[in-house]
Amino acid sequence: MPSTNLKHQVEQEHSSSEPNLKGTLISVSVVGGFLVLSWLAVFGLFLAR
Amino acid sequence: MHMHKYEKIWMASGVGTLLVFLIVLGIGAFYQGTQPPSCMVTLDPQNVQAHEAFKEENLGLQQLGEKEYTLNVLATAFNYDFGKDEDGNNVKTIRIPAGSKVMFQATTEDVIHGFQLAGTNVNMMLEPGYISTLETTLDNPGTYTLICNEYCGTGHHLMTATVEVYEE
Amino acid sequence: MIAEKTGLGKADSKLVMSFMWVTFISLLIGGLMGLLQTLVRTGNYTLPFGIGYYQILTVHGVILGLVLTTFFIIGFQFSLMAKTVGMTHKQRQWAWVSFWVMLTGTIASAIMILLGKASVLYTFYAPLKAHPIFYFGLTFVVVGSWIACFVNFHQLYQWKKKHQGEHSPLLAFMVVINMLMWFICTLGVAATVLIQFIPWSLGLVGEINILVSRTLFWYFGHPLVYFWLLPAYMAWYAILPKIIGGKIFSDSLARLAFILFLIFSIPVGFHHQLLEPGIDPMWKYIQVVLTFAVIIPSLLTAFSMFATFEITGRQKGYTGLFGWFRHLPWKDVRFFAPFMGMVAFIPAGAGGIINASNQMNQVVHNTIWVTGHFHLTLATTVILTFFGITYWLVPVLTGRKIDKKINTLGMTQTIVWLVGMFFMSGSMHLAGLLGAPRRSAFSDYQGSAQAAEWIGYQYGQAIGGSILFIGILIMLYNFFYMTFKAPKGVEEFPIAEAPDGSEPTPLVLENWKLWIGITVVLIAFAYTIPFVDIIQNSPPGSPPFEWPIGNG
Repeated sequence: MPSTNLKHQVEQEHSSSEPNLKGTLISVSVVGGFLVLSWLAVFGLFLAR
Repeated sequence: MHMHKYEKIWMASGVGTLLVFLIVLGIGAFYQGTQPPSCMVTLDPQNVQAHEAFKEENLGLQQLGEKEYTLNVLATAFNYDFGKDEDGNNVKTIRIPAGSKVMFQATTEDVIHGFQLAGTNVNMMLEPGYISTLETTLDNPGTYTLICNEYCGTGHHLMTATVEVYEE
Repeated sequence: MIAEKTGLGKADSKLVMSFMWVTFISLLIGGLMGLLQTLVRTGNYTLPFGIGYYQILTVHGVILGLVLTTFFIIGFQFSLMAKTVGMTHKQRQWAWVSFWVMLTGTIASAIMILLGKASVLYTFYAPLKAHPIFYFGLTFVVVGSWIACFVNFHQLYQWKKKHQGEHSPLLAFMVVINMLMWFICTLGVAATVLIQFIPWSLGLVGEINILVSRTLFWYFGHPLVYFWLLPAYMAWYAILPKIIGGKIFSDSLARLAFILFLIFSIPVGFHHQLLEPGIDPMWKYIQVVLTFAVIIPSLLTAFSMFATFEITGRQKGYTGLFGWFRHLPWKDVRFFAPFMGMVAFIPAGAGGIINASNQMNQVVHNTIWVTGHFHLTLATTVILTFFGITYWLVPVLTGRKIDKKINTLGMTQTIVWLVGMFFMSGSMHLAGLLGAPRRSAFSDYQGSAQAAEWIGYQYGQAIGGSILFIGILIMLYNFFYMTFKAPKGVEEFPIAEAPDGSEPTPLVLENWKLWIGITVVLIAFAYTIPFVDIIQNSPPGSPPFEWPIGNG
């Protein structure tokens, strides 16, 4: 029992120093993609005019 | 200061993208000559006629060569002065063949005005004391509306003229 | 009792409520003007009693852009400071002085606008000349806000004296950053108004230097928008985590973002002057680069927000890539309204990057795209966050509880706002790309075919504007209800904490001399050479023009 507790604790410590943020990375990437696409669209308009 | 691994990735790619934007804009501006209009020539706003380009007879479209023009415009509240035609009437429409290189050259005698050819990249501010210039090639035929896009008073929305780009 | 639990005493509450009253009265007046503008622009409606379009446009801009924002922000910041570092009796007295000075200025300017003597829009570009009292009024608003700055600085200073070696509370730190930025940038607008506009409008000097006045105005004009945004960021960083039952993602990164805003918000004014003659294009480009630097703290913020949501969700046991998304309190208006504000900041930010992109500005400058842009930033992101704050702040101040009814009404209000803004700002963006100008009454531009294409979008704006006005009416009802009718009780003043065991915030983040020093150096770098250049190469100045705005 104590050993599993310790393991649990270690895991917790690990997760608090570097939490799982996969969803965050994907979310900000989508935001970034939107920024790039809008910019390219108006840049295209600038070149076409 | 601790930063999450993913945050480092996000910030690096974000800043990288901004740098790419800036480099693209910088190359366009400094090497291809698409600087935003930034003419540095000044004149006396209460005596603009002292400047060659804004003498009564030089206003309007001046042909410089094959498909090369200058358009001199004097803005006042609430009018764009293109000079007079042969019959002595005020010119309200300018006709330019498609593919022409045009230098727009304008100033204002009174307050701030805008100078925008809707649907094109011709867009600049006119400020008393300064000449504004913008050179562009008008490739796409059509009828374009010149509009004042900076508030200049009660008749601001009536300040307009027409530029026709026609196919030869 | 109440004071103990909410941390705001009666006297503080009364002070902050006064600011809130001005905010919401401004919302009604300014919003009504906005509605009328969108109706006029359909071409089917004429203003009664000979009121001019540009007169109501001036009211709209001044009352919403300058008055509502400044009053809400200063009031909200007083509440944050009173809560986190405390407010002495003497400080409160000065806070009242700031309130009355600002209100006096507001009323003076408002009277001039209503008399039709100041239809110069909120940017008051020379050489259009308003009545001198209009400029005096604006001066009072700015001076009043300076008093608030120094009260806030003094509050933190006193706290630090009592808590040597400790970090200032995050929210107090943020307030002081915002007020420092505000003080430094308003020096520019104060200079142009006091040195240029007032003597010139009184006839003491004959002419005004146009480009100097515009450059000083825009030295102030861009940090102005960050002055609006930073209080929203305060709520996102330090209040929302508490509302969703989590902790602050990173105290250090939050402080770093605010420091970056202080440093980079000011030396960027030329990106509003990209299409102006008389400014060296090299310096325009340099300020464009600095403008792009001010995007960086917003990128940091985007990550911090998602991370706060994800970590909190995972701690509550929601797993999977996006499982954490479901834990968010979607039915709590204190979360929902600011969250939708964040969502709106994505297209708003995209538009902002486009606007600042040097020569690309020619596509959008002074088109109604720009109006669409700042109705996403200020009138959606910032204002929805302010509304979200109001739903707990007003009950805290009035000793009442946010009940089910007000929560439902608040949710409805947020959705109405989003729908209205979708139509209005969406139509503005599209019409702007086609070339439709901003700041213009209805016009068919002498039967122009291009202008005919814009009219459909102008109807879109009127539909959106009408929906938004309904949103304003609901919000006003909510404000009255929370002030007078909501059930009595103790509402929580939500302030989030840093996570346990997080590493200590580096002390350098609170080295004020360092950050102010860098700010000043960067301003000097970005402005000294071009500004000297502008002055040395100045054309003769301009006399005042009154007749174009319908006077004289």
